Amino acid sequence: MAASGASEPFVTFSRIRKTYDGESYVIRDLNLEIAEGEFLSLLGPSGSGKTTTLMLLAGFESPSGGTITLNGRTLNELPPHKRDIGMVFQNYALFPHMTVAENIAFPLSVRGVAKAEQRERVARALDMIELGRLGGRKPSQLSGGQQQRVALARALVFEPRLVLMDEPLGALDKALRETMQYEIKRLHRRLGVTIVYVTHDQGEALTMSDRVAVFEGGAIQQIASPTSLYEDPENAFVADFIGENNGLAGQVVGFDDGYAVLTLPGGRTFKGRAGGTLKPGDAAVLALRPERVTVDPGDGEAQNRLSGTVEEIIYCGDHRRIHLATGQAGHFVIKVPNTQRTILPANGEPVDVSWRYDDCKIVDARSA
Amino acid sequence: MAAGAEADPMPRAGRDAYRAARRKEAMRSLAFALPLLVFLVAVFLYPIGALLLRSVQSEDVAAALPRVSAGLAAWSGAALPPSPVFEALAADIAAAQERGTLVSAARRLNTYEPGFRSLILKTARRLPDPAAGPVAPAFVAIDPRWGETETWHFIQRASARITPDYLLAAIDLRAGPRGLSELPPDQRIYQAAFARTFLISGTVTLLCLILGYPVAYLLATLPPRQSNRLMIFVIVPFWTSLLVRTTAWYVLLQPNGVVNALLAQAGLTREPLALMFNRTGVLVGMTHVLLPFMILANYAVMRGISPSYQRAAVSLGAHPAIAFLRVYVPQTLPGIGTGTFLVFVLAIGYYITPALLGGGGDEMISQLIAFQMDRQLNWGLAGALSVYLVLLTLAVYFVFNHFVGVDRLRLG
Repeated sequence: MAASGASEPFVTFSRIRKTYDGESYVIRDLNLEIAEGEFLSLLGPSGSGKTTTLMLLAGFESPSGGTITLNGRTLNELPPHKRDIGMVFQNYALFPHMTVAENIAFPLSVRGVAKAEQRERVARALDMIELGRLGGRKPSQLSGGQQQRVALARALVFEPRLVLMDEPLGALDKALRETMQYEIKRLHRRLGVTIVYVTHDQGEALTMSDRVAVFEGGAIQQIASPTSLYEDPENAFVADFIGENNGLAGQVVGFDDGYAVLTLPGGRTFKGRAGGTLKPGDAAVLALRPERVTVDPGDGEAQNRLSGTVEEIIYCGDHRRIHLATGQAGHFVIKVPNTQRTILPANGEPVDVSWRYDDCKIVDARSA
Repeated sequence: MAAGAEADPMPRAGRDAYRAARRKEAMRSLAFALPLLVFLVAVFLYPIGALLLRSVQSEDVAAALPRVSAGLAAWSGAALPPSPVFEALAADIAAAQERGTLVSAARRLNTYEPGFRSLILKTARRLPDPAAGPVAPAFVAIDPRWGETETWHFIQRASARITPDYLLAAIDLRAGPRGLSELPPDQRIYQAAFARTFLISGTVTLLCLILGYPVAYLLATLPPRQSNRLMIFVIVPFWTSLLVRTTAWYVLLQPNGVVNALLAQAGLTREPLALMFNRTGVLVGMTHVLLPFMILANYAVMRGISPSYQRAAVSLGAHPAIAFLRVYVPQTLPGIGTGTFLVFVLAIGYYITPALLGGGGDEMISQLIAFQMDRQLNWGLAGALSVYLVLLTLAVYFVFNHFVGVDRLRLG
């Protein structure tokens, strides 16, 4: 399928910059390669540059510098309607004056596809989204989930090889969102299209994507598989943004047996796996997931230990969250799964906790 | 709710209390609306209703010539009326002259036949004395028209208190002794005037749409700051006196005005063009005055259309022009409909601008209504013309309601 060959990436952003006012960059020096058939999410807080990146690819914004290529062809000068990129918008943007079938036929009709073929492909698309009988309805007569499916069908019916989605599930309620996530994944697997998906919902990004690009301040902080992002954050921003995190800020004082050694301002020392570029003297953060901590003084080797006082215990069904006040390490959160028969301390009691060196990572305090 | 009521009927006392509360609520709302209601009835509904009623009322002749009216009631119209009617005429004219009602009766009769007024007044000056012999020949001696049945026929028609004659005259028809007939071509005015009014209004509406739609689009799509600044240019003329705006066109359009000077300087014209006191002036002036309605009506609709529709269309492969035509314009149809309706309805009743910038013989219907009212003092005909104008407006309204829906009518 890939005419460009396996070695050539399907989409490349090289040295892309974007400024609206000539003073500050919304995107600064963005380099990104997307493989054919990949599901890539652009994740980040609002204003981080993720939507701008998508608009640059769609052609609704043009880069202030750098080049974007699609399938080996430079896109910079190509107007959006000639890019053959499907797009799903946050508010669906279904044309309210057209029926569902007319909406789906629109990309075919502007391409001059014969009427009979249009009807056939629209029918197939409606079957694909399981709305076969609703072709004659107006978008306003559909539920939010149905509208979203129609928007998907419309973006896919002309068989683009790249589909962009701009927070497509943002307006749906939680249960529907999960169904639609599954639906989009299913279509992605079935059709083999490349999908670039913008979201600010990390759960969505982690469950759906092959890779996730975490944006902040107009740059990609880390681009990696969901597992790597969670287990191996490259800097403090990513560690904090993805999932829950206890961040202990300090300074790298050295390396010991492959672990980095971090000293907090008060003098306490912890060890953990070392982030790539760290040198002694760097400001760093120890990133630790709350579920990796055990309420146990620890029995031996390769473990960090900490004591504190229980501030609050919150019952969350499948787990309990324990908030600790720890003095030097500040506010600290632990998740204890409900399967453990551990006898938990009560509010106000002192407690000792521990975690293995391998379960935490010491990362650069600065963002990219 | 109905099912609940069946299953467990509310006790009577509860129902009564509920109704009493509803009544009280309704009275309260009515009290708030009462001043406006009184105002509307007093200064709007009553005068308009009265004017429209004038189109079928005809009191002047019956009041001034009561005996003749009574005498002619049984007249068949085949031959001249019997001599008592002539005598009654002499007596009535004398009495009416004394009461001062003769002139208005004469004016009313003149609407049937030019010259009738002078006939009556001439007769009044030389009124035959019934004591001096048979009155009928004396009348014919004063003017031979008294010997024609048609003259008496008009008096008979004019004596009826409820008459269709104004409504007929307003569309160039006349009821003669031999049924309805069209006026001779050189006397027909109103059919052509109605057609002209429609044509001018239609042209003005089209011009407003062509000029206003792009402006509305610009206003709706520019960033708010620039859009608000631009909006001032639409709104300020709206606040300016209609008279000032219309007379300002004098400066621009007169033979040695700004436009002609520019054209001459550019070498495009040798003679100054006639740009006012003709159709051109009316179209320019009315388009200018009515343009804000078209712009605001379209702007109100366009502002609610998300730019993401056009983006979506372009992303789906449509050229921006195609996206505009197939996705944007259809969504603005309610605005186009509203603007067209407002401008057209306002235009067909327009008076000041065509009166100031228009030319003779090219009047719109409202000018003719005004002419009948304050020059001819023919309120019946003015009322009849107004009836047709109101009916036309209603017809336009129903067409608009059918195609666009009045509930979508909104401004700003």
